[in-house]
Order: sequence, then C-alpha cells, then structure tokens
Amino acid sequence: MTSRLTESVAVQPKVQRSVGLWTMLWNDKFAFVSFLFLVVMVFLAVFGPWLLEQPATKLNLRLRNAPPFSLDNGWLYFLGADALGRSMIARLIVASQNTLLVAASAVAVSLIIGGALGILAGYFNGRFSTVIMRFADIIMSFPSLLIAVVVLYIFEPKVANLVLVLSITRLPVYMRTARAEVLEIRERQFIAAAKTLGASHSRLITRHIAPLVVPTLTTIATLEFAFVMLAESSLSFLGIGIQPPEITWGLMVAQGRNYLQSAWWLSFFPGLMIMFSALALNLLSGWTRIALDPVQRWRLEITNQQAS
Amino acid sequence: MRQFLARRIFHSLISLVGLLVLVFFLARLTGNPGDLYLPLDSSIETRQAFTEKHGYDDPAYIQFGRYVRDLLSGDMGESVRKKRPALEIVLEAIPVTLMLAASAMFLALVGAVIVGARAAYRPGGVFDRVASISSLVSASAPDFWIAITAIIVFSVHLQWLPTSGLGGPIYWIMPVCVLLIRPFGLLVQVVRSSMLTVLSAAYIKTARAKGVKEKSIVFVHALRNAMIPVITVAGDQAAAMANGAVIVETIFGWPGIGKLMIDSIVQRDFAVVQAAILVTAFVILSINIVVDLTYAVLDPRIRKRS
Repeated sequence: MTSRLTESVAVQPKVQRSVGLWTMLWNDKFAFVSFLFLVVMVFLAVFGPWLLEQPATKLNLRLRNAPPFSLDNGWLYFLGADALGRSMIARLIVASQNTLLVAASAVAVSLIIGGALGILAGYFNGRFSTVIMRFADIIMSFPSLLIAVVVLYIFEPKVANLVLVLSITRLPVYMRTARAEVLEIRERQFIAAAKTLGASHSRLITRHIAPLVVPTLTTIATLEFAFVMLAESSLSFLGIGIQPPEITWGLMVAQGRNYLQSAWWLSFFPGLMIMFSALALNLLSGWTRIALDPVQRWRLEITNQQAS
Repeated sequence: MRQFLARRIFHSLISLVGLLVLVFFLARLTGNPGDLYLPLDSSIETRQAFTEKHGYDDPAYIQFGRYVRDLLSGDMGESVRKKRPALEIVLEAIPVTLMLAASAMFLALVGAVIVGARAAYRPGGVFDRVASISSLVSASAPDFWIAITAIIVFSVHLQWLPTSGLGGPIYWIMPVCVLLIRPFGLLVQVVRSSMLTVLSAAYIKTARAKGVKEKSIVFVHALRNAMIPVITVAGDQAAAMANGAVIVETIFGWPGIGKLMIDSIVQRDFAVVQAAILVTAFVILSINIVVDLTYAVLDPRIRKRS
C-alpha cells in the first residue's frame, strides 16, 4: 500500500495534465463496458418500443412459453416467448422504456427538489435548516418501500404517483449531502469576497455555491438511479407499481411467477436485465466519483501511462 | 451519556409524531375514511353507520385529537378482515419479521467483516478484486428476483428446499439468504474501505513493531476502530431490511409484518396498515437509538462529547 502510494506520487508529475475523460473511461474496462451497456440500453429504451411495438403485443398461441436459446422461430424468439406467445426480446425492450423513464424522472425530481432544499438549508443555517433536516429524518427513519405502499394505497397507482412517491422517499439523500457541502463551502474565502463585493443571496447561491455542489449531487444521482430502479421494480413486482397493460421489468418478473415450474425464463430474463443495469450504474458511478475528484483522479491517469 | 440518550429519544419522538400526523392526514385527504377502512363492496348503509360511529363527520382537528387519545390507550382500530384489534394482529406478526431480519443482519455483518477485512489486508490482490466485484453484484441484485431464481433452482429443479412456509431450520435457509444478500454486498464495501484507512494508521505500525500477531492486529486492533462506519451503515440498513422483509415474506409466505401489510393493502384493511406502519416505525427508531448507544460504547470520544 505505502510503496504503491509513493511510487505513484513520484510518477504523477510526468503525467500529462489533460488526460481526456474518454481515455480514462477506455482504461477502466469495467466502467467502459458499463458505459457501453447503458448507452445501448438508453438507445433501445428510446427507439425500441417504436420499432418493436408490434411483435411485443402480437399474440402467437403456437409459440406459448416457447423455450429460449433457439433460433427456429427467428431472432425475436431467441429468449423464448411468454404465456401468450409474445416475443421475450421485444417485450424486454419495450419494458425498458417504462423502467428507465420512471427511474429517470424520479431521480430528476428528487435531485432538483432535494438539492435545492439542501442548498437553502445549508445557506440559511437556522430554524429553516432544522425543520428541513427533521423532515429528512422522518423520511429516512421509515422503510421507503412501506411509504410507497401506503401512498399508492391511498392514491391510485398511476405513473405520476409512482414517480412522486419514489422521489419523495429519496429526497433526504440529496438534502443531507447538499447541506453538508454548502456548510463547508460558505466558509471559504471566495464567498466572503463575493459578499464583500455586494453579491445578493440569490447570486451567491446560483453563481458561486450551486456550481460546486452540482457535480457531487450528479454522482450521487447515478448511484440513486440504480436504487430507484430496484425500488420501482419491487413495487411493480408487488403489484402496486406500474399496472398492466403497461410493462416494466419488475412487472414481467411478477407475471412470470405463475409459470416458475414450466417456464423459468419468463421471470429470469427481466430480473437479469434489472441486475445488469443496476450493476452497470454502480460501476459507472464508482468510476465517476474518482474521475471527477481531482484528488483521486491520478489513479485513472496512471493506468493510462503504464498502458502506453 | 444520559443527556445524549434523552436527546436521541426526543428526536425519535418528533419523527414518530411527524409520521403520525402524516399518516392521519394522508388518510383523511382522500375523503370518506369509509372508502379506506371498509371493503370495496360494502353497502352505503354500512358506510353511513361506520362514519357516524367513528365521528368522521367531525372537523379534522377533533378527529385528530380523538385519534391520538385512542392511540395512547393502545387502540388502533379494528381489522375489518379479521374482526380483531389491529394492534394485536400486528404484534403477532412482528416477532417473525424481527427473527428473520436479525438472523440475516447478524450473518451479513459477520460475513462482511471476515470478507471485507481479508480484502483490505491485501488491497489489489486476487481476493480483494473478487470480493469487490461480487459485493457490487450482490448489492445490485433485485431481491425478489434472487428469491424467485433460488426457488427455481433449489425447490423446483433440485428439490432440496421447500418453496414456502414456516417450519424447521430448512424453511429458514432461503429467506435468510435472500434477505442478507444486499446488506452483505454493501457492508463488505464499507468494511473494506474502513479497514483500509485504519490499517495504514500509525498505531498499527506500532503494534506490528511490537511483534503483535497479524491476526490480532487485524481483528483486535484495527477492527474495533473500523467498526464505527460499519455500524452506521448497518443501522441505516434496519429500514432497508424492513423493505426486504416485505418482499421475502410475500414470496416465501411468511406470516411477518411485511406480508401482513401487503395482504392488508390488497384486501383494503386500513386499520391494520396504519397500525403496522406505526409499530414498524417504532421498532426502527428504537433500533436507531441502540445503534447510537453502540457508538458510545465503541468510541469514548463520542461518550465525552455528549
């Protein structure tokens, strides 16, 4: 450990200052594969449903529960077919849109609201801050899934409500991080300087503080995306998330549960997609954390030099 | 110390009251509580009688006062489904969930400490790399999918384990393993990074220079100090365990609080849902207080600060 540290410190000055993000990404193979996977997923989620709407909904009773890994019925049936003979591949791709869309909207909502509340709480550190943080404590002290269950019980399980409840349960993460960062930043010299020059509260927050907090929050958002996706899948699996005929991966796992004995692939593949996506997000978030942190960035740059 | 404890209990009470208000007003927001408490197919007369009996036509603040008074006397309403006090039903279900969560958490902690410490001992080594990747995989796995896949493999194909139900030790294997997978993955990462920091501390070098055995350095000298962040994360996992328990109990048919809640929701038994929320919140807040006390035991500085 110590020897590696000293060695790398010694090498550090030789490394070019501006190693591109792309090169760093290429060097970390796990992060690169994750990135590629996510790009393909997003592409499929955007264009897939438009291209595959028809095979995803077309019933084909001759192919009911057709087993996977056979090309006899064309590539669309390579992962088998469901209980109504619909192509698994087409359904997985169509479902990816809902899955990613719900997670992305929930993450965006909680990032914006939680980030804003946290920054304000850190900036006006006083009674307002205490109230906000108590509120975060209440949310945190209770299992998110159960909050979601209750809210979706009282209101309808519509997509909008699902997004809302998922984002509310994840607010505290952003609130706490943003507040902690701002508490530290507002003590720095350049804030005092800006204040002396007569900057208003809103200018200080938007031009001086927010730009420093946003990168941290974005890194957390990547990680949160995986978490929210898993939460949405759990809710849809329990039958209180997305309702049929809409589909998400979580709902597909639930629907396949009735055929565990005869057709394992109905539940297996959608779950696998959830896991791969969550894993890719986790790996990429770990990489971003290092790549965007000037203190740790050399770890990725070093590998580059040794490789060349 | 006593002051510290008092403050923590006070904060928890605030959270509990906040939750109480939230649940009460969310339930009233939707209009007629009869829609929430009674089954969907109950007649208009039943609803009318229900509304009058419970005074749901009174102003909200009077209702809230009555609600709090009933709560304090231990009355959380009656289950429409089972015709018994809701609290009684919930208290029957709690021990099952606690046993399940406690055994999963215990195994996850022990396993994570062993694996994480071993990985941190030689960072970048083969064991470390395997542990890092597999802990990431297990932290990313959807638990309901793991449960279903485990049923396909171990119950349907190999026929080693029962698919569901509650009975001898053999019934515990799959639920506990499924429940511990995600906390385990997370804890391994925390133990590893925490141990990495501690193992490079000066006092570890001193211990080595004195000729203390490596095993005792890692598991006695380093581990004690590395445990603080681990306990924090493990404590935060208490709420996550309740999430997992909902899934695991539903899939494996365990009569715990999670299954009770989902069943009550499906059958629209709101009194039970409400009682379950409050009792679960109470348990989780108590666990958080215990976690805070553990800090004080582990780290004398925290004891002094309060």
